[in-house]
Amino acid sequence: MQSLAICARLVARAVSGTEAENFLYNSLLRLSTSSSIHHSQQSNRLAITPSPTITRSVHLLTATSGYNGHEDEEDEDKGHLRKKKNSPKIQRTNRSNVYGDDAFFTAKNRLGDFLGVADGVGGWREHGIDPSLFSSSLMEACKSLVDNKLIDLNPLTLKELLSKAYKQLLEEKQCIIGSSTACIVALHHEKSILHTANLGDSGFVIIRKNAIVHRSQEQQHYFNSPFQLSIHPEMKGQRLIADRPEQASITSFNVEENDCILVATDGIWDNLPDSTILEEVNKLAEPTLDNLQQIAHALAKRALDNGHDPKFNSPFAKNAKKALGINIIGGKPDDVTVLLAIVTSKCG
Amino acid sequence: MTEQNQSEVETVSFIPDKVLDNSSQYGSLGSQYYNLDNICTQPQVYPAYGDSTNALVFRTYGPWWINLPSYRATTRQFKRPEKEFTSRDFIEIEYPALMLTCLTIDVYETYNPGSLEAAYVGKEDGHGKISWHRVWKFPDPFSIVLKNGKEIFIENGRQQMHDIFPQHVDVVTSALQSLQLNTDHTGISKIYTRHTYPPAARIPRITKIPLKGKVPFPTRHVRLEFDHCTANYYIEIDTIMLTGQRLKDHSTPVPIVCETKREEHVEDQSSMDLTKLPFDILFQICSYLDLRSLARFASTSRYFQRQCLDSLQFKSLNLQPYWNTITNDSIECFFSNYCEQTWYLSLAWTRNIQLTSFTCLLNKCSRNLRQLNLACCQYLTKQYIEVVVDTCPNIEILNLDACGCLESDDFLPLTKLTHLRSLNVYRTAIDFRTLLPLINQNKEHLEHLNLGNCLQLIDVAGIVRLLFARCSNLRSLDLWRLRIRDVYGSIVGIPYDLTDEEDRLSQIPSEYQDDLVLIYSLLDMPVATNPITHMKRLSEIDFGWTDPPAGFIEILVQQAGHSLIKIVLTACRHVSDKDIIAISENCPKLRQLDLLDVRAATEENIEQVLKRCPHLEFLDISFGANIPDAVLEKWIHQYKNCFKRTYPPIDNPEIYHEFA
Repeated sequence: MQSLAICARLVARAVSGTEAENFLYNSLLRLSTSSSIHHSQQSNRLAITPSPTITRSVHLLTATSGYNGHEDEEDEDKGHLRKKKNSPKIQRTNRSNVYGDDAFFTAKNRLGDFLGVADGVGGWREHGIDPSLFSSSLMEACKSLVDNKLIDLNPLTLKELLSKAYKQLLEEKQCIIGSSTACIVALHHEKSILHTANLGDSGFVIIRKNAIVHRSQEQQHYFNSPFQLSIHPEMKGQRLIADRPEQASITSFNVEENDCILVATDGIWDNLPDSTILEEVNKLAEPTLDNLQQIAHALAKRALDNGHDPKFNSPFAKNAKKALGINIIGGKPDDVTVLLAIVTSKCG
Repeated sequence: MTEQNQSEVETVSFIPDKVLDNSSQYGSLGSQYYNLDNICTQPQVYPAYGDSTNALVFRTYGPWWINLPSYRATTRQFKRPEKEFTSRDFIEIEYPALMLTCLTIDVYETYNPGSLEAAYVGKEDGHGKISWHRVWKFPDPFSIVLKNGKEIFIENGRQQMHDIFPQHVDVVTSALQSLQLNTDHTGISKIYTRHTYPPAARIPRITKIPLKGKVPFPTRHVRLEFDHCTANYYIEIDTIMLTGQRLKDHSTPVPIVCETKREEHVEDQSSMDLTKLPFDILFQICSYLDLRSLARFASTSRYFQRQCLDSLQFKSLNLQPYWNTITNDSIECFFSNYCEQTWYLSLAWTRNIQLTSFTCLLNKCSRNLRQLNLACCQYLTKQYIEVVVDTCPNIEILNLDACGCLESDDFLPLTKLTHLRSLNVYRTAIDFRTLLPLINQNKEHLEHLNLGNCLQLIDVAGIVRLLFARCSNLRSLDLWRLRIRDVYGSIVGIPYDLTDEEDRLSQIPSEYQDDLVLIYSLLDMPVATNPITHMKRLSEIDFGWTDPPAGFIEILVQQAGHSLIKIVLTACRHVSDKDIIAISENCPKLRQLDLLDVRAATEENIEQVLKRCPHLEFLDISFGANIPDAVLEKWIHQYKNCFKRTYPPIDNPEIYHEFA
């Protein structure tokens, strides 16, 4: 590991200087340690090298899966919030992109394929606000911007996308209140580059040949308080976290054919150690949609089960010990959302 | 023709590629929500029905804007009746490819349908200029497709209320009753419109305008005009498809030479001898004729030409109804001859008027011209503005609504105007370099100002502060969607920290800093601000989407609320309970109040408003206030004014109720 790190440093310096060097070095470090809590840094990590091996355009084959982690409470709450007399429950259109308080979107346009997840912060439920409203609206706004307005796809695009989508939420007549994390990845068809932007504790990993080669950087203010985009009415005497889209951490890197991209909310990261994730993904034989779907379901199910298992030594428990010194055991019951995609050049 | 071009045709439906021009929109510039671009996607709302961010929405609806003094002031002088022209908004669309033969235009109406007024298709000449040919005008026959797929043919749109609801659909009696009570009737009865109230059943539908056999040339442009003054709430459109046939191999077909059908008109034989009438009676008769009839009448004989086309007949000249037929020739050779006495001129919606013709016309009007309406004139440039200012220095009412082709610099000549009473620059690129001097120069007599959706003002705070500090005569002010930010307090006389002001000024982009400093010193910009008690005539204010802080409205109405008749606080989410109570206490003349998504609105404080504002005729309480239906029903019966409550799209068969 050490010699590799030194080598990487030399290469990086030769190529483009300290920025790239830091990136490569840090990514190697992360590979060798399990997920840990970092404080966010505002840096543009651009370490793109032209890849000589990929000449055909690539796209993503994506499977989605997930579970609502609050199955019992939800219907009551929704009824209380939304019911008006003598009328059916008012449904928001396009609620198919929601698992509990998590939301996601997938979109394709001329330039690339986009995936995104957003984890609605559950604390809003106490104030009578449905947490999934914010996350699903944010994801829908992202999707509609990708479908209609995106002109370019470069390392800064996703941060701008997040910013625009967030601003757009303020334009809705019925003010959307709430907060969520956000993690968006986009694969450039021609260049085979994956651009990413992450705000909070949702995230992604890239799996190549049964190893995790890239990972998102988690952003937290303190334990269990991730960075989040929020819109809130003025509530006196409360310290409310409100981070800005500009604080999202962005990276871009090359991907290869048959790389697996897993974008998920913390329901996965807190309940499945890397080994489990790799174990499941490794079961992928042929890169077909059905197989991908099976694995996505498997990952989601395992995360859900682990979450409800009071004896399981979950990554969440391990982190709690590390951060707060408390000795707890068990999973973290939460909504689970999984977007599992594979980079492929085959059509159809 | 080669064999290829004679292959079969296929029937296709196009989604719009882009919007070329429009008269207004609800959403903010640059945002997707409630905006034009929403029609350029597959239907996203249909078959649900309701208020959706994914639909095209115009800025106004109903009689609410039309019946206010600010609007009346700009239309009062155009007395010649033009009953054929009742369009209020338009949209021009381009489709991705040419359609060889058109079959229908499909308008997906997903909220408050029935306001379609006219449809045109465009013919492109070699230089990209489009001429519009009308293919449908209300109430020509059309058909509607309901969401169960059934198509209903509507012979005459001007139907009785019970006929409007298609027969197979159950009409819920209470809905009709509530329509009668919760009434826009009074407002609408004051307006001339050709639509009924309500214009159509409130269900989602596709309005199909038949085009078969009416368009003898290939086209990919459509223009639709709307008259929504009888609509119950904002009208919303999901998409507008063009269905027709084109060649399967998509090659460009040879354009068919068209012969435009000339309208034949038969003149009635009259036994009365009009030539015997004295001049003043004849003059009076002519003033009742619309312009087209007047022109026709005048062409009957030389005698009538002399009598009818007297320049006094053209003291007010409204060319907006004829926007499509006004040409440079007609201006130079006809109208210019009679405009020596023109005081009120409207060229709104006209297209492609050359600078020479424009100059010729305005030269004739010259110092007499008091009102000039150039709304949606996309041919304007700085030179046109200079002509206006140089030849007509006495202009009092100027309308440059939605003139999107003018850039910020192009407005600068306006600073020479010194008699301005009313200025409408909605959705233009005007900025502080024009507005600050202009406002200051006209501060004594400025009465109406519309700055809605002007997103390039740069120094919004300075402009607003100047307005409130010095324009004592201001009657209506539209600040829709302006980013006024933190200067609210200073507007109403609350002392503020000078360092905040310095911060604010330093954030103005550097390329404007010099101009800003210069203008501020020339105008002696107010630093210490006073209460606005000097604004004794303030009647209409629109703070929609500007988000003032809690307490601002309270102070505003305490100082200047006694003459307020319209207060718009759409999406002003920090407005507090105290603000609303203050409105009830200080605005006895209030007629219209918009509290969309104002969360502090409650049964109690709204009841206060209803009790103490006896002239209230319009109240929008969508979203924020959680008023139970029963209370609303009670209020409708008791207070008999118009309550508006919109709702997001729902897929519900029973939507005849006003409130979901």
